Amino acid sequence: MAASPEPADEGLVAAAQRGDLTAFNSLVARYQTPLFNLCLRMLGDRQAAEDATQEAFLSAHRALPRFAGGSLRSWLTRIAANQCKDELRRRRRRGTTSSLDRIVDTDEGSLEIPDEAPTAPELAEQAELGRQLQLALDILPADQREAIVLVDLQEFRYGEAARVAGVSVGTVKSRVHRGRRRLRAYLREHPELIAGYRRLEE
Amino acid sequence: MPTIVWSLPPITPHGRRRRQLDAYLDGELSAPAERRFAGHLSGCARCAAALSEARAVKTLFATLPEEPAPRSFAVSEAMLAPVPAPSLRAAAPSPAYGALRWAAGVAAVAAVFAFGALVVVDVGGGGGSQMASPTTLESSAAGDFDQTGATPATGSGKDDDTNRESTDDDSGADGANEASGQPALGESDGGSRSGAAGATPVDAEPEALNSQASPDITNAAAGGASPPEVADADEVADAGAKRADGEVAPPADEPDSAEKAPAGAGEGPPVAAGRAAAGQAELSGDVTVQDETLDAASDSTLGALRIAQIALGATALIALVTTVALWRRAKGIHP
Repeated sequence: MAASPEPADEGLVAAAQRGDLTAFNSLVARYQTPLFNLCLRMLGDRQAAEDATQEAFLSAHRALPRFAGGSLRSWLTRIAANQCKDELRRRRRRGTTSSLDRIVDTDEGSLEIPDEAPTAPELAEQAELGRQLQLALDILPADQREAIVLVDLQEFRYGEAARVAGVSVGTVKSRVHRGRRRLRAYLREHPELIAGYRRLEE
Repeated sequence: MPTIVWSLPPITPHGRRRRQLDAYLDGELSAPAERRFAGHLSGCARCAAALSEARAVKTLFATLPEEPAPRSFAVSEAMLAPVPAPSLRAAAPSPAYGALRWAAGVAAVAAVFAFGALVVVDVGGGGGSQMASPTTLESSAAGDFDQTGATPATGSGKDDDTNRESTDDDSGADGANEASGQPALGESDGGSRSGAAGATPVDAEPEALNSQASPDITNAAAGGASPPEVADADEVADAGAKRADGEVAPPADEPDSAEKAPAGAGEGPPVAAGRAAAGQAELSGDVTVQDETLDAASDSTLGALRIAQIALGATALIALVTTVALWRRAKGIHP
C-alpha cells in the first residue's frame, strides 16, 4: 500500500525541481516503459499511446514544483492515466471508435517485439492473443479499464490505484469487480482466448 | 415510486459476498472478511466457479507482455518553450468575426421585427385607402415594434440560437433594444449600423482571450495533494463537459485534475458557455488549463459552428434587406 520511492528518485526529483532537465530525463528514462504501457492498454492504440506518454511527461515537468513527495511512480501514473482518460473522452465526444485502426496499429506494433520468443508460430499466437486481450479491454468503460490496467497489468494495490485514479478504495474495488465481471462474460464468449493462453503456457 | 424500490431484489448476504469476490482474489479483504468469504466459498459452487473465472481473467491479462518504450520520451528544451497554440480558441477570433456575429444576432432580431411590420402593413394595407398617409403607416409599424419588443423572450431567445451562448442574455437584450429602435428610425442601414455599434463591446474579447493564453502554467497551481473523497469525480466532470456542449476540453492533464473536476463541473460550463464573459474566464485558471488540451477535433467543430453562425448571420442580413426593400416598395406603391 505505502509505496516506498527509491531513494535515487528523491535526489533526482530535487535536482529536477531546481531546473535540472537532465535529472528529470533520468526519471523519464526510468518510468517511460510502465507509463507507455499504461497508455497503450488504456488507449489500445500505439500512436495515441506515444502521444499521451509524451504529453504526460511534459505535464509532469510543468507540475513538478508541486510534487509533494510520496511515490513518484504513482504520481506520474496518475498524470498519464488522466491524460488517457481525457483522450478517451475526446474520442467519445468525437464518436471515434477506431477499432480497425487499432487492430492495424497493434499488428504493426507486435512486429517490433524483440524476438526472444522462440518460434514464429508461437510469436504470432502470442501477438494474436495480445491483440484479442486488447480488444477485450477496449470494451470496458474507461473507469473500469483504468482499474483493471492498474491492478492486473501494472500490479498496483487497491489503495495506490485509488490514489492514482483519484477515487476511494471502495470505488476501485467496485470498478475492478464490475470490470472483471464484464471480462468474464467476454471470455465466456471467446473460449479460444483461454485455449490459446493454455497452449502458450505449456 | 415505491413499487420500483420494492421490486428490486433484496441485497442478500450472498450478493454482498459476490461483490467481495475480486477483492478476495486480489488479497484486498481484511483478515476477518477474507475468512468469512473463504467459508462462504466452500459451500457455494456458484461463487467458487465465479472465482475461478475471475482468476482466469486476472492471469490472462497479467500475461500481456510489457512492451518496450518505442522511443525516448525525454523532454527537451524545445518542447518546454511556450508554443502559441494554433487552436481557434487560443488564436482569438478576429474582431471582424466578432462584429459579424453581433451583426448576425442583431440582424436576425431586426429581420423578425421588420417582417412582422411588413405583415402588418400588408394586412393593414389590404384596404388601401386606410393606409393612404405614410405617417399612419409608420406609427402603426412602430407601435408593433414596441409591442413585440416588450416580450424580450423572442429577442434574446433568437440571439441565443445564433450565438449558441446562454450568458449572452444581457447583450442579447441590448441587441433587441437596438433592433427595435433601428427600423423605426431609418430602414435600410439599420443592420449595418447596429452591427458597428455591436462591434465595440466585442472588440474587448480577443484581447481577453489573448492574455488568457499566456499564463498557462502558473495558475494551474491550486491543486494540493489531498486525495478527493468524491467517488466518481471524473463522471461529474464528464457531465460538466457534456453540458458545456463540447466547448470545454475536460479538466486537463495535471495530476490534480481529478480534485479540480468537481469544481470544474460547477464552474466550467458557465464560463465556457459565454465567450462574451471572457473577462470572467480570464480570471479562472481552469479555463486556461482546459485550453491547453484542446484538440484538433473540437477546433474543427468550433470552426464549423463559426461558419454556421456567419452563414446564419448573412442569411438574416439578406432577409432583413429584402424585407426592408419590400416594405419600402409596399410603402411606395400604396400611397
